[in-house]
Amino acid sequence: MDQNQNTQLEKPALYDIILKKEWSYYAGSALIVIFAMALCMFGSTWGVSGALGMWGNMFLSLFGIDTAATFGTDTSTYNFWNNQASLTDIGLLLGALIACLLAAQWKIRNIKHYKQALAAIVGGLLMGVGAKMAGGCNIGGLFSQLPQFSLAAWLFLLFVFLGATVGGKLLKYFMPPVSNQRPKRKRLTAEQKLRNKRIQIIAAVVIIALLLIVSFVVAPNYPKAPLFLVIGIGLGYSMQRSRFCFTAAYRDPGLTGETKLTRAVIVAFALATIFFFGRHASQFGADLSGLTAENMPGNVINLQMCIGSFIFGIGAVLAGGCASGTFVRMGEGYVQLWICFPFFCLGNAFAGAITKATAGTWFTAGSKVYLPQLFGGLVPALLIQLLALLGLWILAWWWENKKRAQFN
Amino acid sequence: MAEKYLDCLGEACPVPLVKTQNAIKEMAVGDVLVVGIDHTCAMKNVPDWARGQGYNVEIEEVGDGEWEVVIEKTK
Repeated sequence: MDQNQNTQLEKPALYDIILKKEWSYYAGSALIVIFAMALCMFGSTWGVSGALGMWGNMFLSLFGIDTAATFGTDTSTYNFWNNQASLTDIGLLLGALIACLLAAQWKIRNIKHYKQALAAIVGGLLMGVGAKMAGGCNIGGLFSQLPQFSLAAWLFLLFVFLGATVGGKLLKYFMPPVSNQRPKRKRLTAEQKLRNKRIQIIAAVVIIALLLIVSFVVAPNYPKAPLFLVIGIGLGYSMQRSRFCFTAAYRDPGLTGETKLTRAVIVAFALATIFFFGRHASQFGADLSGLTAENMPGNVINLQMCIGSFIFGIGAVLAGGCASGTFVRMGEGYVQLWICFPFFCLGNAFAGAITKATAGTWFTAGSKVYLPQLFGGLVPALLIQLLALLGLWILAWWWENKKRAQFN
Repeated sequence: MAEKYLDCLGEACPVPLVKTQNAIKEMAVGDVLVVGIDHTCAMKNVPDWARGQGYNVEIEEVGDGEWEVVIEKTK
């Protein structure tokens, strides 16, 4: 203990500052927005759950199921190196893995109770089904859409919040029982810690070297693949270092009263809104004369989307992470999220049967609402959206202070 | 001045913070809670919350990616 106090008094080492110490949530917001916008500039907007559904369908087709006829997803043309979401998803996992190894914090984080596995399975299935019905997860349905002035994403936010509230109530049935027993573990000596640190850093360097080799090998056939991978790794690294979590933004206010991540996600929305303001002006013209029904951004608002985002919210709270969070935590070595992952894929694939059956019915009837059209131009839409986000930020800040005062 | 250990190893957010809040509620002023954590998010949000409440907080990395957050309930 004496030794520990000494180390805390010392100035932090350069290694700790550059590779180990966690970043602020706002630093995470800024970097995630920059990477996501870079992706948007040469690919399409960031999405995560689409690839999971594809993998679920591919798994089911191994059993002779005609996924195109049953779930509406044709797996025959899929190519991993050609698929943006697949590459950025694997990048998320690798980026988090590299961040964790470089910080010498990687370990297998095992579950200790069957209820955690149950939470992962139920949560994974619900998230998979919800994301398919809602037309995206926290990323595709919310983070990549709300800044594009899509009213559907605001509704996604509302319903995912309601779902998370229900999930928060159900969580007590999935929590491992309280244990006050300190696990018997040998404390590592300083030499052992140093050795482990070196092993982890070397492992990270090897992984980075392998990734570079793979990138050079696939680049001639798939020139975009290394770029998608790098952006995914950047996103995963940033999310891990800043401990960013999209689910916590709407889960924690009700459950723990914390809104620091809520406010960081709101800031990310605001930054991305400014980016899309410029991008839409260049795409559609400042007067929106180039906007058509076909190229209008955003999802269709319908009953299926609302129900889907509600279900997704329940699942994300139970599983302990959304789609992007699942990849990040898989990279960090969480067994609970490795269990969750295949069920997310399968849930997403199975839900194809729902979206296929309801296509063209009242359940999916609706239309897109593009806020600049509603408010009479891009500038009023920008101002109104930024003011709405500011209002939410203040509400979140007030809520945290209120809950903090109530606790004592 | 009782000290209590809370095992949150292997648990994902928000479980460690919920359990920490429940444990602190039942403790007397001056008691110390040691939370065992290996969730990288919880090693940020548990100390963040406890500091926000005005408690004394220390974080010790006891192993690779494994922490003990020591919280003294000061009020």
